[in-house]
Amino acid sequence: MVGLVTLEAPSRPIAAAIGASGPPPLLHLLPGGPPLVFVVEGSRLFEVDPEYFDQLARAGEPAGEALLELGKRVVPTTARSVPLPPPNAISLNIAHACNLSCSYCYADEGRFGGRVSMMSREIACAAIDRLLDGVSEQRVTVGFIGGEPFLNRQALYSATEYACERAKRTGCRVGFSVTTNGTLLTAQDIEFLREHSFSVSISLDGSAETNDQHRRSRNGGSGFDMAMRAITPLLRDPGRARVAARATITRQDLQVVERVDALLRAGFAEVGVSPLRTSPDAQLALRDQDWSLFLNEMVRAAEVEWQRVCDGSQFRFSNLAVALRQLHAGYCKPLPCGSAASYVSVSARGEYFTCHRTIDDPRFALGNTATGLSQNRRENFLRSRHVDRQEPCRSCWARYLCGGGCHAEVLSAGRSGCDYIRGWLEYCLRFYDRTLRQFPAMLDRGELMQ
Amino acid sequence: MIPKIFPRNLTARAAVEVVGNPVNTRLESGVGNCFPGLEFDHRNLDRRFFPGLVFEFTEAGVLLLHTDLNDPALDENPGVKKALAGKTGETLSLGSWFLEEITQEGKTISVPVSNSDMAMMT
Repeated sequence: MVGLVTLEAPSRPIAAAIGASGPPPLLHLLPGGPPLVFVVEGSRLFEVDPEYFDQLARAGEPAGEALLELGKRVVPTTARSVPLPPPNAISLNIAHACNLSCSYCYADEGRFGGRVSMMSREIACAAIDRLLDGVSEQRVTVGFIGGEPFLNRQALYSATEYACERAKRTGCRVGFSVTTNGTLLTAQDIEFLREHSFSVSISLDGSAETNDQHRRSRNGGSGFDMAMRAITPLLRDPGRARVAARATITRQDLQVVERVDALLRAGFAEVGVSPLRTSPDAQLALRDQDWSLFLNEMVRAAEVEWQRVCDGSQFRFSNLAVALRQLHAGYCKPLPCGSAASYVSVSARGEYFTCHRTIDDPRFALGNTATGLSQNRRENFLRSRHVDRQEPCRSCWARYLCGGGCHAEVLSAGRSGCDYIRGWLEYCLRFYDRTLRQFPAMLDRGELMQ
Repeated sequence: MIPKIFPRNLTARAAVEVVGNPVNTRLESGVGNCFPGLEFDHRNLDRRFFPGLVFEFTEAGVLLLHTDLNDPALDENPGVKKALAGKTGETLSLGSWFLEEITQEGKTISVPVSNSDMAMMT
């Protein structure tokens, strides 16, 4: 039975209980010109005349009545009570093992603090059955993750084929994704990825020199060379597959432009970066003093991207493209991601967790494939993680754009880099306005990468 | 002085309400030649066929969305305007109202209302 999870903002007593100070901000005036005002509810962006902007800056929110009045005609997405449907995406941790030995790996080289283990075909199929039992005539996604998924190639192949056959019977469409280091891909694998239209996310950090600082094989071999040897045919001819690179950034080297350029030169059509927030080696994770430098790097990369787009290229830097797409549509989210809601992850032993980052952590456990996903645990988890129940999020203008930060990272290491997130969002709002003026059709026709 | 406010992104644009029929009543929103015999969805034609009342054609029936005292058509019907500004308007703002019949010059047309759906919506 489908239960209800209440995603509306907590009542006043709850707000008081979490130590909230003052009412949450409703408006944010963007620094710089032209005069732009961001209305928090509904993630709405307005340009106003300079006199009104000055009045808002002087008198604050009481002067913003005209703007807020417009918002009353729209039911904010954060204020709706929405039924919690079954997830429409799962990731299967098909191999709790890895052939690389990356220094910053959150997954303990794929083992998640335990022993090397592989998911059986039976468990993979049971998880797929549970996914498809809960839905009808819609699109579902099955992702493969690890460790390194291609260490358990046969289970990956047979689970994919089983999902296709099972989806056909239920009238669903199924999409596949895999996150891999790319080093083990064979010609047959590449054909398989093309045939099943996989979204392939390859973990690579930049040039060979940059990548191999942290991503090496157990015997010290170059992770970059191993990956490029295997994936080059896929990059040259992706067919129906879609291939993107994802780079992890440590505090030892915060450069973004150089990484993105190196990976575009290597043949990737899309590149995204992710700053390291938690790591088994604490020397590598970004610290408070690093975030402003990292913001400068992100802005530098976005300006290079602007030049690329002005020269007629498509967007390639996925962090920026995703932000623009979401700002255009007015994404307004009370949670940071689909974790535990539309998406759950399954461990090799068949246990459900809120996402692939929380495998084998009992705080995030959601039941198992034998008895089913626990609706109560999902609802309780989501209720407790609502951004309006978190401080300092509740007092932040960017709360419904950010959603409160990755659950796994926040619950393990607390929040850091909030100023970076706000700074990046302010920059992206300005970048969005600039794109809207110069290339309006690009946003309306959805030409940003999907 | 009324401040000048220009919506930029899609949610901001959606928040600006203009008096008149919605964009989906334009000719180009018709189903065209895609479905022979169904060249135009007449339900899109007008939601404002009574002064001051805005309707939505739903699966449950013809639902009264809201009253609109700024409707220019009310200028020619001051009695209706007065009623909508008073008790009648207050009553219509409570619960869900569906159009069941239209009577004109002695002829009555019934509009089907789905009871089960109506119960869900009230």
